[in-house]
Amino acid sequence: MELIPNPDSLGLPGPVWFLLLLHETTQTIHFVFMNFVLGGSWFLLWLHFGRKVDWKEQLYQRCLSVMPIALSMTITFGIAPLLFVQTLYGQFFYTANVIMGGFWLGLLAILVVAFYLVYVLKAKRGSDDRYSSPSIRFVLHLVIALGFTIIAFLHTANGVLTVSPHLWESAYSDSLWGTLFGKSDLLVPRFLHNLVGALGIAGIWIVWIGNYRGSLNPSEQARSGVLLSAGATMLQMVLGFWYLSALPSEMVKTIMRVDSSLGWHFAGSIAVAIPFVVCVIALTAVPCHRGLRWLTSTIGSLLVFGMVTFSGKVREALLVEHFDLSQWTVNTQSGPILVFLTLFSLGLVCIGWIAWILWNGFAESSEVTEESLY
Amino acid sequence: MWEYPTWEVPGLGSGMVIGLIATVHVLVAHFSVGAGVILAIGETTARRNKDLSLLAFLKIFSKWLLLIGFVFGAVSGVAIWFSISLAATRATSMLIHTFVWFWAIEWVFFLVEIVAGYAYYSSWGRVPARHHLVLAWIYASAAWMSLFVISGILSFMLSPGKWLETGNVWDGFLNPTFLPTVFLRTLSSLGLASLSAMVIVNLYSKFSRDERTRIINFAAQFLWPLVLMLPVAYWYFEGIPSFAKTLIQGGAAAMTLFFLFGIAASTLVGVYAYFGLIRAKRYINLETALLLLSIAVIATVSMEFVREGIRKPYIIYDRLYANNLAVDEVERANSEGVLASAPWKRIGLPEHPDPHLLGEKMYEIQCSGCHVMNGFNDVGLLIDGWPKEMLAYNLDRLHQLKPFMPPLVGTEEERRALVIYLMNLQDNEGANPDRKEVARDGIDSQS
Ligand code: HEC
Repeated sequence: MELIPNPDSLGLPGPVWFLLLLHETTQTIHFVFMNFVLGGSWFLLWLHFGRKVDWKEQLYQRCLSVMPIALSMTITFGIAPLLFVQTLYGQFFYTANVIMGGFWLGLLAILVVAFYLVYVLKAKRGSDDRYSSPSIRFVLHLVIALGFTIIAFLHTANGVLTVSPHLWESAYSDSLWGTLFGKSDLLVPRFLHNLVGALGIAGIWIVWIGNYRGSLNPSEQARSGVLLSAGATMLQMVLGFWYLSALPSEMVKTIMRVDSSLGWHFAGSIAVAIPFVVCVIALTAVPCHRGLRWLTSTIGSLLVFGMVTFSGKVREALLVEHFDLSQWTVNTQSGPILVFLTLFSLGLVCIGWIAWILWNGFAESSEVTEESLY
Repeated sequence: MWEYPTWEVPGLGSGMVIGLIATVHVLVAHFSVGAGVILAIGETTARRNKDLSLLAFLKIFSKWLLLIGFVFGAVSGVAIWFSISLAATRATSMLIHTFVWFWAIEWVFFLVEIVAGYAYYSSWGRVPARHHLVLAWIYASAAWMSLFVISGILSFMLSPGKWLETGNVWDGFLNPTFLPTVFLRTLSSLGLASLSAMVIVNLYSKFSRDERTRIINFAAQFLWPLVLMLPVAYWYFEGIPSFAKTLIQGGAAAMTLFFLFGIAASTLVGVYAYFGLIRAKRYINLETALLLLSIAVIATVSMEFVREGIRKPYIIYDRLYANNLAVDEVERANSEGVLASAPWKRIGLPEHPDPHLLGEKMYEIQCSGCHVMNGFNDVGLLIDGWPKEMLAYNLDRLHQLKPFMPPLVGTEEERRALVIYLMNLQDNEGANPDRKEVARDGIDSQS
């Protein structure tokens, strides 16, 4: 393919495995937060209709207040994998970005609007909503949820273009969407897989929020999350197979062979998916079980990590005829890496301390009085 | 050389889009950094002096920081990434393959900044005062550190210094304009945040006139350092490449004016803050605060504009030209041809394109980044009335005659094609009297 740019002649400033590891761990965290934002925005739309019921109202308020933080974390943890994907796969990733052009940049405009709309919904006058008209709130919820969904879709489109150099010419010079919808088998199943996955993980978040201190009806609240998660997970199995079958048939054969790296990554993901399904089903019976909640969340995060690494492998395989990560010349910058790792560890300590004081601070009193402010 | 496809933005040009986003982002990001310092020092002072109205103000201020800095600032920061990778793809790739660890370091600070900031905002009255104070200082340090790190990368683009010979990333990061950039940006962060505080305090009727005056006088402490702008700008100036200096010294009138304006406006605001607000303890109302803030905004934008402008013709100084041609590729481009190294521009082209088509591609590849057709810096207007020989002569010496442009490269055939294409552009303009008018007017008013 003469359209594929050469790998940057400056080479990689660190070993491939290390960059990949950072890419995949940060992307996992990005997904975990993103899943609450995307899935949670649809869940909020549903809760919006049940606000007469006490426990739903409480869950609604709580989900809404988690939303901005989750959004900020999604953005922050999106930046890191953005850095590493450019480093590892720049020649494919940038090309896909440019082909998408205004759509790629435009997703951020949607993001900023949706972000501010969340604050509009959250705004209070005393203890009441500042903007209280149910129909306007409904429209806002819909706009937010659709906005996040469109952003997810644009990301999928970019991901598909990144691994499909054979579509570039026609996507660039004829029609972007015509090409993607007409010539890519991956686009739709991959998007649905991401969307439904987000609902599944968002459900687990809701289990946590529903069980948070002072919950009015923890079992109902948590159950609504588990049910979302369970439903999405069932659907996900079907979608997963659709996505799989959309891959080139040669690759599917490799995936089915456990002696290939692609195969054991797939097997690994499935090996995590099964206990996850079991846990979610168990949670439907005991939605407030603390140990089970932890277990499900841990396995759920591992599952997201499994999916991220597996899809990294798929990307590698889809591009292998053009490029292989081992082609990079590596000029490791040990000094800067050391500084980064040191600061990263200190940063984590700092964040840990912050989490600890917040946890204690919010445990003591639930109401803030004017006097206690200072 | 031109291995990537290009993103076309009609009328404006993709470079302009980067410029707009970067400008807005710089303002918000600077506000976030300065606000951290004001919160940290403010809360320390307020708690020491038991100043409840200052505390009440800081609480409000932290909400503004959250709504502006964390939402708009964060997204516009990502938008810079997206836009540079669309509009300056090759440069972005070179920067990331050089500085990814520095960006990763900046990201760590950004992460801590966001977490500490949310915690700070949401824990007023919830955590013990001393913990809240620590949060303020963590936020302020992390935010300033991210400014510190990013300054190294930004200043690198203008003055890569020893990196050009050694290729060592530390040489690139610790380049001649790194420290002055850190200082300049710190000053303007403090200034912008301080003036924003003066605007914000005036928006809340719950503060009495006295309280407002006290808060404004407090905020003015962060404004007077702007008087240092002149020496710091001089220090910066000393570090930049010599051709960039000549642009500021009068080689490009716009650069000179913006540079002087930026320094003068900042200095004056600083002097006013010292004598009017700190010594004489005066009050300023909403309108005046807004006026001062606007001046500071324009000064900051001017300095950013100069920083970008004096880098011409390069995007990474002495290494990569603004049109994605690397300095050491000139000869190859002359012998092998431009189109031969621009696969995306060959899409749909016949094996031997006619001169018009070839000329158009030459233009798109080498010129359109700075000269937008029918838009910003339209080349048709610049060459209006030039005879063919003059055009051909000037184009061959583009870089010598106007050193803020990269050299024209290409085979003989390609250069001739560009001349034909541009001449044709002139003829078409002749057929469009309106445009001719505009061009003439422009020239008349200049002479
Ligand atoms: C780095 C940005 C940049 C690039 C790339 C660039 N130019 Fe320019 N060019 C400028 C600027 C800035 C001016 C000054 C405009 C003015 O005076 O208003 C200019 C002016 C000109 C002029 C008028 C010069 C004069 O003597 O008045 C011509 C002709 C011109 N450019 C042609 C070209 C052509 C042809 C190309 C492509 C081969 C090109 N430029 C590429 C930035 C650029």
